[in-house]
Amino acid sequence: MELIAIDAQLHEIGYLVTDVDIEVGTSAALNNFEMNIPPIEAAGFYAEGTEYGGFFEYISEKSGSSTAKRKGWTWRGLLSQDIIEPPEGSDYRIVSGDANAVLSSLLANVLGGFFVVPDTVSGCTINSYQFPLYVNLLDGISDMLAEYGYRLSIHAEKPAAGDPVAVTVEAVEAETVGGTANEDSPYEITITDDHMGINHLVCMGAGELQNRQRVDLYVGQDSEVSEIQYFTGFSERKAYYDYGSVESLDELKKHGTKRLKELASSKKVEVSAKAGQSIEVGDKVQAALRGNVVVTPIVRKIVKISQGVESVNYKTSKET
Amino acid sequence: MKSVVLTYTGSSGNVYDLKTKGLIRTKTANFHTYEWKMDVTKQQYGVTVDRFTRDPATYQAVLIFDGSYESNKEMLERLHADFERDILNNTPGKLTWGDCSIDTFAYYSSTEPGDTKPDAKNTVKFYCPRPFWVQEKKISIFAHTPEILETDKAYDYQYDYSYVGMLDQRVRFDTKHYAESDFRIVAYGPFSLFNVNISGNIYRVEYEISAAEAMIIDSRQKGMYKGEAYVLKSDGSVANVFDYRSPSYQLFKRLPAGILTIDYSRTYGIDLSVFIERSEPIWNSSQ
Repeated sequence: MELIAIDAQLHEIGYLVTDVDIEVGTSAALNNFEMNIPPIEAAGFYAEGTEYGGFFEYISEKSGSSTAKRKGWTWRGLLSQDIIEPPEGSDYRIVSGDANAVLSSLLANVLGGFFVVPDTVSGCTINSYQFPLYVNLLDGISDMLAEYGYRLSIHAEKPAAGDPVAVTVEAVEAETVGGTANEDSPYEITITDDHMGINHLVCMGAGELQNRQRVDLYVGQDSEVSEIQYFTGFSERKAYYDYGSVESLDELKKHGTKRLKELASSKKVEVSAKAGQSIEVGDKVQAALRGNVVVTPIVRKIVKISQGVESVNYKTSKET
Repeated sequence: MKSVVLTYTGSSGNVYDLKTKGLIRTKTANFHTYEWKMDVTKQQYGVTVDRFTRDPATYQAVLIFDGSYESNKEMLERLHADFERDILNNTPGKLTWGDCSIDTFAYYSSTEPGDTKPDAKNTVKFYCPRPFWVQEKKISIFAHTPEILETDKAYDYQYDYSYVGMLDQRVRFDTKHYAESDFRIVAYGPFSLFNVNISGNIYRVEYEISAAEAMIIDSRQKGMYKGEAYVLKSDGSVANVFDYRSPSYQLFKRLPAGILTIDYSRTYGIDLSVFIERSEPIWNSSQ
């Protein structure tokens, strides 16, 4: 995979010979890149046909060193640096229409119209989708498309000789890779079935000693959180959650539930792909786990390009 | 038998003949030494080889300065100044053995009196970051114009190639090499489009140049960049034209082994240099 240096106007300078670490994903991922290179004239880089690329926005130089650490947002990361606001006079931003047309209207004024959205019809029709208030663009768009079985596709290309590189954003149908027999999968799949988690959380709120607010939350048979105990006796695993400044019992339950989900047992799927194989953020991985089929979306790609060779590790969302 | 040429060329351009009796002669050297390394995956029985790699090459040579006392001092001073200049500027000098050369830094030197007065014995170690000796093979292809057709009769056939036909656009060029090679093309203006097909790959830059200008496409790595494409302008300036490459083709794709077929409009002339890389200097050198 070739890395191509670009100037601030997105014109190509040359093939860059260096290694780069890239992470892309939901807004919880870093969505940035990092490379160590000597001073060069370039303002950034990209890899043709991929979402790998961005501008250098962070330079750290150490005296006596011939190289400097350069970092920047990936193209995807730039989307996490803006928010979706309600139109004037409205409480929420609500959108309808073909997904690409929706993207086009959302991105029209983002970064001075930096992103290109194709005129083509995506095949995904959005019906009165209401964005959460002030959600960042990346999560807002990704969640909207996921609801319809679609995902964001971001890729940079040079349209023709002498043209600046165009960074295209469009909606494409999310694919599901893998199968029910992991051995047959073209990808290396690691499944972690972790039963070492907490299933009973004692949540303590406002008040003093015996008079403190208390809610007992439990993990159920299907990983749901409720106030009804399922695991008892030897299977019970208990922990304490302290939220003394909480304002209401409902708030204590809400935050306790969130905390218990973090502490609870989980199933995790990790995927490694060989060179030439490609799974994108928003695609889904299907894997077999003791007879059960787990389908979970890719939420993070950790990419290393070294001597032109790309290696990728994928993280999926946690399945509690 | 004619003796092979052995020279050191500093980045300053100063050339030192290392086989001149009465000035500098090389007593011993190990330029025909190389070693590949293996990246392997362990198997139950032995390994599978994933790839072969090379470390930078280092060579040692013992030079005898066998001129007069004064001449030896002067030559040592000049040669070592070039060694030091290369190191301090981080610009390599070049060792040349026959037809082959290699970029190098003379990173170690130790001088002592020679066996015979007033000789000086200088042990030098050379560090070669890219451990390959390069032999340049070149072909010049003229534009198809009536004037050129006349001068073609007197064309110098020192290079090993043959025309498919005088008016044919295709030229065959045998590199006589067993591996892919880097290259440099110098294309002489005027033209509005550089488009040359070499053995099936199209090298294309959509940039117009005038009669007094030349476009250079060089696939070799230079600094942080793999390959370079630029125009030497008529006013002496240099313009990077990489941005005008056609994105549909690979501008710096290395040339395949063996016989090359060069096919283009022949409305402008080109010089094609093929850089043949070898682990050691060629044994049956022509020089």
